[in-house]
Amino acid sequence: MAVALDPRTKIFFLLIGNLFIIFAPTQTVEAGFVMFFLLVAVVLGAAPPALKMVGVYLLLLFLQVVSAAWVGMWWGLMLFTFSQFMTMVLPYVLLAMILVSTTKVNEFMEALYKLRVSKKVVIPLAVMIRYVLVVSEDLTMIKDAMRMRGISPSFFGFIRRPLETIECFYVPMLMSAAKVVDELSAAAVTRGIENKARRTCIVTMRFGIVDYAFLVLLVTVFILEIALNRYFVS
Amino acid sequence: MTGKEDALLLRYDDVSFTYRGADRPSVKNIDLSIAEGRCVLLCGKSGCGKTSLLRICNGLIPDFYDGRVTGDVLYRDKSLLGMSISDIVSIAGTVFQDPKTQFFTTDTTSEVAFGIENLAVAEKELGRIVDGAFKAMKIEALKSRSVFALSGGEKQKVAIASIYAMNPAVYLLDEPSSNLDHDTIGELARIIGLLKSEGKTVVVAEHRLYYLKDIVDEIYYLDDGRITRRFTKEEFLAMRAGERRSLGLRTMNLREENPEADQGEEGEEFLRLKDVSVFYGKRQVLKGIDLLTRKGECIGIVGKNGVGKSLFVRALTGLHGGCRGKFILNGKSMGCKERLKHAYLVMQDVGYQLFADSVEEECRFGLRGVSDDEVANVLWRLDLYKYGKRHPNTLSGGQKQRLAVAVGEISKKGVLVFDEPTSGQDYESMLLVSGLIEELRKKGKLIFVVTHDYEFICKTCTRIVHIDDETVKDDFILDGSAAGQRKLQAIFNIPFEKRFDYRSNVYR
Repeated sequence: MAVALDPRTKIFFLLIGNLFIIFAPTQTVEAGFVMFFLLVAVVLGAAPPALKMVGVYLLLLFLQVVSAAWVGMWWGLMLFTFSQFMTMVLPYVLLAMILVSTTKVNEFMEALYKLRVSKKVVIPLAVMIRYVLVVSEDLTMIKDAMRMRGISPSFFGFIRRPLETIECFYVPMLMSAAKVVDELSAAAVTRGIENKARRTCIVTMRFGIVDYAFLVLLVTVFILEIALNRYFVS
Repeated sequence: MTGKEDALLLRYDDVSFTYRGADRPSVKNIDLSIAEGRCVLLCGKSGCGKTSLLRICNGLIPDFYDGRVTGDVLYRDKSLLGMSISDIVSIAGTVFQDPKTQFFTTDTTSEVAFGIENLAVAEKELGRIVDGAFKAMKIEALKSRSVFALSGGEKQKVAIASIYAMNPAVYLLDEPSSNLDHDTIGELARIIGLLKSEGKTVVVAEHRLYYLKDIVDEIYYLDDGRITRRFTKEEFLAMRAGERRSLGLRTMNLREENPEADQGEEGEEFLRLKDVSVFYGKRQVLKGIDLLTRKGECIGIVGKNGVGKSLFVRALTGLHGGCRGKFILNGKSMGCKERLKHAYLVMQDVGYQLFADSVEEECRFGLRGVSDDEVANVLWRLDLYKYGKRHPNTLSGGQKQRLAVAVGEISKKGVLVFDEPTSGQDYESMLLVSGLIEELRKKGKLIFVVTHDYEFICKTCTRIVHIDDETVKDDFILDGSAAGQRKLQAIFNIPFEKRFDYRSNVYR
């Protein structure tokens, strides 16, 4: 059974996790943090998607190291830039994924309200999180559509026809995003999301020992990271 | 009728509305009175203004969709237009067309609680009200489930329960059956009936009418933003089919529909399936499928939601790899990749398969060596030529569908598969799709249609493949004979009657 953390703790984890990565002195340390995030994901019960993402991360890391030798060639440079860019972005995506996949939208809203965040911020955020869940359904459709045009929606397809592949994803996504977000918001508005009274929540939330322990751990790690930073640079 | 039954609940008083940026009003001079406890149906062609009428009532107009409103909507003599949307929430609750985008949370209990949480109902009350809503809608089995594991019909039931929990005076349903199959439409009807029996007022805007036959009290027909006709249920049912069709309305009585697609000459043998099994992951979903098809056939794939119809057509088109058995075309057995070269799927939501920024470019996108003449030719035939420079996303739903077909034509695919091509479409658009398929058939294409639309099947399909119990349960030709019709009616649970004769308006 997965450990249930208070959503507030998870939000804090997302924020400080970002700082971990930003201040990571070397890529090895960064990779170490990614492994730590993976551990957290497993404990929280988001193992399958996290394992997949970390797998891709390691693969890209490997690719980056290997392709560094070929940056003189145009394709080597392309591979290197691509893998470097992706390894930079993936840790943040992983953090966001952990929060989104283990937190219910109403819990998330309740947590933010408890933290006294304004409604103006909470509602768009909630709509956004809800939209992310629709995206995964969209992707399956788009991949099918690409295959029928003879465009492979895989990594190698991307390497072969990068521009077309990107276009294939973002054009239908953009079109569907406009529609989906509009409909989601309309539905939420007719169900009183804009009501002025402070909303209640059916899930009771309590800050437990595990939450405090985890917070202390996170802060300690961050302090250590900052304190030891110069040893890595020199 | 007694005075109590007639208590006026909702009144549109000379309401007109123009969306911002539009040059014509969506609804004009609407006068409409709705009594408490009634079920009212708003019908008419796509774009006639029925959705706008609902939006004016639930406050989305003018708060969410900007524009100019004149006149007033009164709820028990209180003006709704003067209220803020969060006050209207407890008066009018809305169920939308697409369950995918109206759910806000990921589990059913939170979903039903979502509305009353927003209304700031005390925390200790929430659980009781949510339980009550599940119970009243008789869907206790759906409690604490992931919304991703629900069928379309179950989702709509949960959506209605979440409105029920908020206890509004009026339920507004905006094409609630669009994404449902035949069986779940029946369940939707039952739930609406349940609301009515509790004395709730229900306003439904719909294209499919038949499922409301036993529930509805009054029917309003909108044409170009005005209410032009008003029927009681009896008047509506007594209307001749010819008149109904001239209004562009779908049937109220499925028994009146007969298979009428033109069989044409028997085409040459085409794709053949030999002992095909389809797997989803490790689970065997379909097995032992043998099928011999001919050019020029339109095969309707029917069966309940979740029996594997979509998986079957995805396997057929080569999009789904997990299958065993043989797909034989022109004497050669084909793998996935080869099937992809011969088959083309027109998706339910065609938006996903349009990638380019003009109609002409779309026809070339991803394909090599396509000549201008060829593109012009196909676009001309599909009535899209004059839109050549337009962005695909500015086209109407039907035009997008034809554009997807154009791509299939240009890439020379012999097998075309349509997934729910008529969901949420009015009578005229349905006829257009039917006509398009007939044209493709006559050119010798093999067509598969996955559909729940009985009326559309009657107009379009020459053959039915019924999938159930993990295999093809039945496979029959749909010609004028009574045998085929009887089988089809059995699948759709329509009581068998003799053929309906339109000229004399009687069954014979």
